[in-house]
This record gives sequence, structure tokens and C-alpha cells, in this order.
Amino acid sequence: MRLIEILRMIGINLVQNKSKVLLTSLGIIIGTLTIILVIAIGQGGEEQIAAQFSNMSAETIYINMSYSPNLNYETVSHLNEEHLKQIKEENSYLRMIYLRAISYKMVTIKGDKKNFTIVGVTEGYSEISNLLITQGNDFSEEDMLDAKRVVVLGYNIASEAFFEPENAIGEFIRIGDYQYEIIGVLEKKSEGLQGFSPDESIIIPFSTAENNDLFDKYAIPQAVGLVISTKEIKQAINRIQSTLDYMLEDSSMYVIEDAGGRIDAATASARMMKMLLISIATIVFVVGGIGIMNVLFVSVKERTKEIGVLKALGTSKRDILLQFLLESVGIGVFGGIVGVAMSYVALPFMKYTDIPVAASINGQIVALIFAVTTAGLFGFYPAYKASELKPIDALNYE
Amino acid sequence: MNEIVSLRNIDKSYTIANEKLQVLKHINLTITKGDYIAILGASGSGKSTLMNVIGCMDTADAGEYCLDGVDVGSCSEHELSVLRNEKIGFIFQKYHLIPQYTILQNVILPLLIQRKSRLDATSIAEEYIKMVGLWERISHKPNELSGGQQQRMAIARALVTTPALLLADEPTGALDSQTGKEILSLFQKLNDMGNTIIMITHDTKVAEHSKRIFHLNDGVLN
Ligand SMILES: Nc1ncnc2c1ncn2[C@@H]1O[C@H](COP(=O)(O)OP(=O)(O)OP(=O)(O)O)[C@@H](O)[C@H]1O
Ligand SMILES: [Mg+2]
Repeated sequence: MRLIEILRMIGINLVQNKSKVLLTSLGIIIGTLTIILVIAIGQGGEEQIAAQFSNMSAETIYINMSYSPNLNYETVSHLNEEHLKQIKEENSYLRMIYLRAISYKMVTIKGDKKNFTIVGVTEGYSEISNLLITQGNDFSEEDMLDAKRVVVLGYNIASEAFFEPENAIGEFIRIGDYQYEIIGVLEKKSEGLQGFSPDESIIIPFSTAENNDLFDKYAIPQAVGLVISTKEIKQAINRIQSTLDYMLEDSSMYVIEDAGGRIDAATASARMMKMLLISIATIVFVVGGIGIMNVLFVSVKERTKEIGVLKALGTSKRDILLQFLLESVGIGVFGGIVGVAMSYVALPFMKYTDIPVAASINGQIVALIFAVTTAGLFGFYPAYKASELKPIDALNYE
Repeated sequence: MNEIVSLRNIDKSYTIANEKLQVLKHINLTITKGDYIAILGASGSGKSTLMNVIGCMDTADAGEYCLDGVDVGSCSEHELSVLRNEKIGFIFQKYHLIPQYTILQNVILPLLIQRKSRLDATSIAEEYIKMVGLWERISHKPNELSGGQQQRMAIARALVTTPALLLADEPTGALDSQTGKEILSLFQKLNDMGNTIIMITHDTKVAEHSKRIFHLNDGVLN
């Protein structure tokens, strides 16, 4: 038979058996959709972790206050720029280090009063913490030395108050008694395991914050540094420890941690989640496959008689198999495409839940392959069995 | 070479639950071009089994079968399907039409199998559909037709390839006597035009329309 005629027959069969085709497709659609969603969730989780760590490199070292319930904020010894200088000087493993302290202050932006996170930083903060300035400029050396009243705004603050972040440059905000000029806006970061969220923070030179009394007693400075190479993290930490030991009255109040450890832990849990999702996807493959197999198997088996008629009229086995293979592959392609289309509706809804999702072409391709192969396989096999029968047996099949 | 069918010592048996049932016993039959024969026999005597062997729908256990000069016993599966398509027009007791296709789609099928173009196939099929008087119903489906109309549709489908041999298994079995007569006069017309026909029936009156009558009793033909 000519291929075009086989295709025409398939067309007639599909149109004539609309409800059966839809029933078969339904299983394929649900299977496809589930696979896309599972993959999107897996991808989403991975991307979320990647985003969290995009601000952080494994070379990062933190010197943090180790908080305990009986911590005395009045007497605890504070890290200062002197300490940092000393640490840097005595440590060849350390590339750079900066000091920062976080406090919360009432800030007036464009007449609106609100509480904001204020982060006082010393030089090197943007490089070490991976914070880029998209609009305007970063603090100059002079700003830092002279404790100028200038600030850099987090992306969300700037875009909420000034609509376009670029409009913020040159404007003033008021903190306490003084006006501070906005000289720059940070790039959007979404997330940060920095101890603060850059998008929602106001960055200010450490000296400026100190001079203008913006730090309260709870704003305990911490230091963030970069080592030259991840291989030397242990040595760098040990060296910092010994510097702190002699410089601070009670160095035990501070802990030195590296980001690598945190990243490792998070990556390990991400891998766990991925494995979990892969097992779910496998179950979906198997269960969905069996469901599709059942429906398709029965509906093709029911047509054994039709195969008998085709054989009786002299259709070659090849043409019969081609017809049934293409027909079930057609159903698979149809179901798969509808499933992919429905994922475009379903995925945006997932955004309303707390589950992070990321649609991916890969997911769609995997799901389509699943749809087409299961449909092709389970439509082909019973047709193959029927075509193996003697014409008379296929014809008299009940 | 006027021999269309030549059966020599054909045997056929079925085995059900370890019990062998010999259905055809040393069947010998020769049919020449233009013949019109009837095979009479009681139910279960093996008529359909014989017909299926002649129609290359089933294979015999032993014996020789020559169809229009071709040794059927030595044919491959593919060659058998070509034989069925080109040499045989089979009219089944139960019609065996494909339900989702219209009359035209059913009738052109044997021609499409021959890789004829749709245009050619359609014009040939239309001729036969007219001949069996179903022209007005050409785009109807089998379940929209009466039994007699379905039988005529099956006849048109059997004829489109101008086969060397027309086989009819109880063509009037499911029809009332009036419709049965119409079918039989159609067969008469086809035979007058030179078609070779083998018809199965258990009705002596129907058998009398043929030129020669054979009797099948418990698998023995005489
Ligand atoms: N596929 C089969 N398997 C086993 N036995 C079969 C098979 N087909 C037919 N038979 C047996 O072979 C015998 C002959 O059957 P056949 O169909 O040839 O009879 P028939 O003469 O056509 O009868 P009817 O007039 O009722 O159609 C019967 O006893 C039947 O039970
Ligand atoms: Mg019979």
C-alpha cells in the first residue's frame, strides 16, 4: 500500500474512534504532564540552591559571633578595622577581607518612613560578597576614609521607591538626623546566604555608620574574607584563629567558618532531593506506562478481526504493522504534545505554591520520548501478535 | 491452462484437548475457468474449512493445491498475501467489512493494497458499487446498511480486483429469500460474464443455481 494511503487510513481510524483515542491519550497526557512537572520541580530545586550560592564562593571565610543565650552585648569584644588589618598582615593565605555589621533603622525614602536593614561595610565588600553595582558607582576610597554620607541601595528598595533603579542615583534618603546620597544600586540577587538579603538592604560605609551612630549594641561586626585557594582554607582558618587569640580579650566568642562546608551540605541535600525525584519519575514512567499499555493493548487487540480482514484482502504484514505502529505513535505524539501544552498552563500555577519549579526543554523532550515510545511499543506489540496469526484465525478472533 | 483450482488429497485436522478431529479427508477437486459450483453439506461437515484452504486463508496438513497455476504449498507468507489479493475474491458468511470505513473506502481497499493510485482505484470501485446497486449509499458505513446491502458491498469488494476465483461462503445464509434471490441472480450474471465461482450452502435450492453440485459429508467430498 502507498504510504499516503496508509496515513489516510490512520486518519480515518483516529477520527472515527475519537473517544477511544481520547481515552488512550488521557493516560499519555497525564504521564507526560507528570514527568514534566517532576523534572521541573527537580530543576527548580537545583536552580534555587544554585541561586542561593551564586553570591557565595567556596573560598569565602566568615568570622562570626557565636551567639549564646548568656551573651553579654555590652562587654563582648567587637572586631574592628585594626583587627582586620592585623589578620590580613599575618595571613598569606588570605586574599582580601572586609568587615560588616548589620542593624535596623527607620529610613525615610521619598517621604515614606520604613524600617530597613542597614549594612555597614568596609572596602572589598562587593568583590568578596559578589555584589555588583548596576547603576551609579560603588563607594570610593575617599567615601570610606572620610566617612561620607553616601549609600548604595538594594535593587528592590530602589525599584520600589523610584520605579526605575537609575532614577535613584543622586537622590537622598534620611536616616536619623542626616541625609545620605544614593550613589549606586546593586544588581538583583533574589537570594543570599549572606546573613542578609542584598535586594532589601541599604549598604553604607562602615566608618559612616560608626560616626553617625547607626549601629546599636546588637550590630556586632563580622568579617568576610576570601582565601587565595580552597586548598588552603584550613591553614587560613588556623592562622586567623591565632591572630584573634592574642588580639581579642575573649576570642572564643568568635567562630571561623568556610562557605565550602555550607555549600557541600546544601549540595548534598540537593542531590538527595534529585535522587528522590528521579525515583518518583521512574515510578511515573512505570505506572503511566502500564496504564497506557492496558488501554492501548485492549483497543488494538479488539481490532484483531480488522487485521484479519486486512490480511484476507492481501495486505502485506509490513503494511499492517506500519499502519498500527504509525497509528499508536500518532496517538503518542498527540498525547505528548497536549501534555507539553498543558504543562505551560500547570507550571505557572506551581509558582503560587512554595515549590520552586523551572520548566526545561529537557523535561519536555524526556516526556515526549516517554509518550511516543510507550504508545508506539504497546500499540505495536498486540498488532504484531495479531499479524502473526493465520488470516482465518485473526478473522474469527472473538 | 484452464484449471483454476486443483486439489489433490487435501487433509486437514484440528486438535482440541489432545483429540484429533479430521475435518477434511483426501479432498480432490478440479475447477476450470468459467465454472460455477456449489458445495452442499451439513453444519460442521467442513465446508468453511475447505473454503478457507481454497482461499489461502488457512493451510492444509497434507496434499497438493494449485491455484491458477501456482503451487500454494510452496508459497511464502508474502506470496500468499499477494495470491489472496490478486487471484481470490472472498465473500464471507459474516461479510467482514471494516466498520469505520464507508462503502467506497471498503471497496477500494484491495486496489490500494495493489498500490494503485487513489484516483484509479476509486473509478474502478465506483463501477462495481454501481453494479451491485449501492451507488446512492457510497459514503455510508456498514452499520447503516441492511444485511443484503452489506453482502452486496462485500461482493463489490471481492470483485474489484477481477479475481480468477470468486469464493462465497453461505452468501445467502443470513438473508431473506427475496434478497437471497437478488444475490444469486447477481452471481448468475457474474458467471455469465466469465467469472469462476465456488459457493457454499446447506440449501439444496440455492445449490441448484450452480452448474455443478458437490456434497461434503464428514470431510469427504463427492
Ligand atoms: N479453528 C478451529 N479449531 C478447532 N476446530 C475447528 C476450527 N474450525 C472448525 N473446527 C471444527 O471443524 C469442523 C468443521 O467446521 P467448519 O466450520 O468447516 O464447518 P461448516 O461445514 O462450515 O459448518 P457450518 O455450516 O455450520 O458453517 C467442526 O466440527 C468445527 O468444530
Ligand atoms: Mg461454515
